[in-house]
Amino acid sequence: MIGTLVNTFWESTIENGKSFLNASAAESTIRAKLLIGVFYLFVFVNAVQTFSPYQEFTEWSVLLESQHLFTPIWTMRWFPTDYWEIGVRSILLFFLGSSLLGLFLWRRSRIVRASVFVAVFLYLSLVASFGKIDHFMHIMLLVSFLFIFIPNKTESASTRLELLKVFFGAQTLVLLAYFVSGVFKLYGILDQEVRGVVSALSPDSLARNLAKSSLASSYDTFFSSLILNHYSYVFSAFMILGFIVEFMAIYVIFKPKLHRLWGVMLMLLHAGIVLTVGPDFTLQMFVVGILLVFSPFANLETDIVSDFSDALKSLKKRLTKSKNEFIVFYDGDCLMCNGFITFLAKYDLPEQLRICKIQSERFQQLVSEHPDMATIDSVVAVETAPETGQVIRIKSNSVTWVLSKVSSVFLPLRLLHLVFPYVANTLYDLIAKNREIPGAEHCPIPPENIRKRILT
Amino acid sequence: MHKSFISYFLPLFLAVYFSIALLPVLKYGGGEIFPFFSFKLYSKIPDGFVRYDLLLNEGEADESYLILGNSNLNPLEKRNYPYRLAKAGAHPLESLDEFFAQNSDLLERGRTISFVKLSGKSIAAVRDQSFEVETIKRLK
Repeated sequence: MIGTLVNTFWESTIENGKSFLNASAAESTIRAKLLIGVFYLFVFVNAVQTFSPYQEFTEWSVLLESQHLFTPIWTMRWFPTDYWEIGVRSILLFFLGSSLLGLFLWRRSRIVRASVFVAVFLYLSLVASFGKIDHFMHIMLLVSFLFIFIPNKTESASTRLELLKVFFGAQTLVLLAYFVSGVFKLYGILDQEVRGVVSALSPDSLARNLAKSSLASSYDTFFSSLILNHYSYVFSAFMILGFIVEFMAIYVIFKPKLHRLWGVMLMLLHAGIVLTVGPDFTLQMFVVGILLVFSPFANLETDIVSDFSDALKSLKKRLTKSKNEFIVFYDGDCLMCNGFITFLAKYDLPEQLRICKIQSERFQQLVSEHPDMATIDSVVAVETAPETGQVIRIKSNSVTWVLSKVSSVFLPLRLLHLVFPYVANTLYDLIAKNREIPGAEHCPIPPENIRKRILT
Repeated sequence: MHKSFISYFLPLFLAVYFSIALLPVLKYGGGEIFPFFSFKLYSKIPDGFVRYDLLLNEGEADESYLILGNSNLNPLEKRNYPYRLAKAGAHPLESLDEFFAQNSDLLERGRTISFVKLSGKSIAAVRDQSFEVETIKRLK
């Protein structure tokens, strides 16, 4: 089970027959290393800021005089309050020293990267031990944890791939965090509507959120007076749009072409929050920028505007019926795969459909051109698109795409794959792994309307 | 694809991290476990507010709150006071004594000090300074 979950995770990075982690590994590695270096620079700048009175961090002198407010969270229970000043000064200096070492030695030493993580962890634990836990540095902390696992040397293809996997893991973590947050907000709408109380659909919802923050912080935001005095559905619509951007972050994880675009959207979301409701997540914006806006897996030949226009074209393509030819490769020795092909025969099959076994030379030729597919155990759909060349779909992508081609009844399944590809692929793999049909011994002879489409 | 320690660790770490982050929401009803995100934050639109505060009075024309509208508090006081006073709202006697034992200088600030409960509609409170004030205990 765990093996399946892990395999599915990495195999979900395969796009058009090739994992995007491998697609231009040398170039992506250089870019990822540069970005990791920028991350450690950013941590160092933050550490320096804790010593400056002109910044958003809790000033060192305020920390020193606030022992009476100390309410330790579980990670600070060990803190020697009898030596408050020494303890606080030590944590601040450790943060500064480790981040300085990280700036210079992150590539060479795992211990240095681990100490950066511990330093950020201790600092964040300290400032969170005064009654309320802020979340402005959580992403930085988690990313610094994952970066401990970067290999020190990246000369070989396998270590380069390892570095890219860690970077991708950090991107996934950030996008999943936004997704879960979006889920709760959308669920909040449903829950409050069902209970008949005011929800985000109300015209004054943003004003209510703003007022809540304002009461807690005693600060006004740039648009405070406008939102409080002229609340309308426009503001609610913007807020719900923000929820949707967060929710759809899960869609972007395995879509490297959208990493930059979504990075910008998430940064705009935070900018919008600072202007309206208030909570300051500018540190998080910076990490989102490093990980997503400059994603090493995005198309480095184009820019964000091209990403946006490509996304629109792709959406348009999805909404129009394609007349491209496609071949469905299936395991001729597998009862369930044969069953799938027989199942297709129940529908009015599109003219462009051809069927071929994966035991054929045609499929072996495809695998030799796409080595990342060598270990894939899946129904494979290969579409020949005149404008973009071959489009290879595997696992739930191939099955749901083929089903959506034969009948619109299967569009919800297609949607499940599109929004939650990892979930759909995991389901696919779990079924594929346990595909023995009790009692069945021989593959059925394909029906007539299928036989005439079989390629050898 | 090449399978290394990290190939197994990363997906499992993500699964465990998000499972633990969801625990307080699903099982324990809202308590936050550091350093996991509080995903419930801002998920509900607030309908009204209840806050606890200290009303400091230097005479009839000079009334102010310790927290509400006071932007001079430092970031740690801003985090700590609402949290401690909210606790005192639930257990006024024991928590208030503990609060003032650690913040004795606050007792010097006003001629009179009352522990109060503020409630009402948050928009009206911010926009029109209109809310209800209930005195729970006169402290000085």
